[in-house]
Amino acid sequence: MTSTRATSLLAAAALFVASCAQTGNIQKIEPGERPTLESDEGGLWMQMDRVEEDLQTSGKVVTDPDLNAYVRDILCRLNAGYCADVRIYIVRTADFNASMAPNGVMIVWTGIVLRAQNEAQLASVLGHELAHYIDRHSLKRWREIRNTTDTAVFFTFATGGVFGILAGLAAYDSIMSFSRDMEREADTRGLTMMRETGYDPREAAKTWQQLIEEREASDEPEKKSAFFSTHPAAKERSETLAKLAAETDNTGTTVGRDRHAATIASFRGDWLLDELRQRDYGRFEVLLDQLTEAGMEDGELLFYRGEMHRLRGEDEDAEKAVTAYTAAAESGDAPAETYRSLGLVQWSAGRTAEARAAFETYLAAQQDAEDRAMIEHYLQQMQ
Amino acid sequence: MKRFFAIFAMLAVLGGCAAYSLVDAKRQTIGGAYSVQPGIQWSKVTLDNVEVWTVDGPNLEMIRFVRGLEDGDRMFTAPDDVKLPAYNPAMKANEVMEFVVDSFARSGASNVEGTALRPTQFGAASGFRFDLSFTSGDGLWFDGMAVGATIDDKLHLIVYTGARQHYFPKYRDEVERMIGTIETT
Repeated sequence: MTSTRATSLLAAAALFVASCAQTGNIQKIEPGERPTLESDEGGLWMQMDRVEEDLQTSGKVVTDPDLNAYVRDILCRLNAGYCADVRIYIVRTADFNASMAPNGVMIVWTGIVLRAQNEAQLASVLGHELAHYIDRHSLKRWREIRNTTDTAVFFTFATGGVFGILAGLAAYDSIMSFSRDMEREADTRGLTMMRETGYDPREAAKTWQQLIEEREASDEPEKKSAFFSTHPAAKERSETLAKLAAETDNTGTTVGRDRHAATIASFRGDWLLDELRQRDYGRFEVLLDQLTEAGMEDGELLFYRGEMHRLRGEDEDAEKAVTAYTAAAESGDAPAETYRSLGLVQWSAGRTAEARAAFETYLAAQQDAEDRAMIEHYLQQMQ
Repeated sequence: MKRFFAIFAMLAVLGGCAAYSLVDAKRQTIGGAYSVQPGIQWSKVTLDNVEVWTVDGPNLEMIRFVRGLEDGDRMFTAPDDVKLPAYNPAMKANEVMEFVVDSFARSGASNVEGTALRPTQFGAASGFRFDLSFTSGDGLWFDGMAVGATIDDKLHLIVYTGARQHYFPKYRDEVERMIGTIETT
């Protein structure tokens, strides 16, 4: 953080402290509405505007125009009136998370886009976050906590400090976590927007249920318990959303699986790799199972199932990896790396002939393989 | 949030508090397994398995000498709940690159890629090298290169990384030259 930035934060903190007496009923924000700079809300916006400036140059933001246009299109279909007020930043980060800043900055992690099995599921997340903006939940939360928190410390922490802008946003999200009533309000408004747009509202509950199943399968007990302690209402929210969705006739609604699958196809491999790198194999396996059950299995998904087994390396994992890689290869649309990984597993298992065949297939399929020299070195070592 | 901890906490320690010592431009022994001949002076600090050398500061550029990892060892020191991959002596070079890349990814870096894996000599040992790139928690792009070898069943790595703008290229030639001076003991 630069000294200029730190100074401005302290100045803004003083402004907030000075304005602590402001209270009152908070109405929803109107399309195009901007708070005055003298207000506490205006100060909150100003700080998040500065965060956004840093975010815009971050290497973590996915800038692909087609992907951004797709996500933005869903948001604007959900509510055209607020479309111009919200800037979506798709951030290359594993795991399921999204956040909404008071100034209209919506952060969507790639882990969410990967997990969404269709447009409707993604719409459920976007609609929920948009509802936080419309109902000014950040401002409400800010007024609740500002008298009990050292404002300067809060903003130094929440806007990054030494940890960086995205860590700062995560901290902001944590400190400004919305109440259960706010989450319910956002769920309800989000579901209404989904229904009015023609998306099947039942997909909202499914999104939560998928996440719960995934977390329950986590290899990391502390992570599992942390999730359920910070999201105590996950099951309740899933059930409530399912109940609300069932209250109306959903005939004619759509889920939009094909457009979603086509739009993320060129990114999915990288995002699956991001998830695999978390090395939480229990969660990853459930994620793969869910995508498979949703009819999204292909050579690429089978390849990553093989990768999971290869990296986990427990009993029978080597054989399961071979099975998955073989199925991927037979699918006809597996990445060439399938054969390289198959070669590594076969070599480790002492099956040199099979390993050699796999490596040679890899080199033939990937003429410009960046690790060609290494693979050829392996082949020489096998002689 | 905690995922950002390991690498940045380490950098903060390296940047402010740790005791540095000067590395003179004369042959230096690393982990008792090999030596290198630096051509310039570096500052050095050691954290567990890793000896870090830097000139302008670890937030800008550094060489990590990862010294003799054994079965089950991690590349970085991290809090208990940050699950870093463990080294396995049976790993092939591709898997070691994967181990390094995933260690960076689990320590807070994003867009981590290891590329151009190829065999090389590591002194008298048969080794490998590859290129690295990643973004930090701030979204700043870094480049890097790594060379390594297994010596007496222990993995030794030299990983040089620096901010893509200015700092990585600033010492790249010096690091390349120094890698060429490796003598295994």
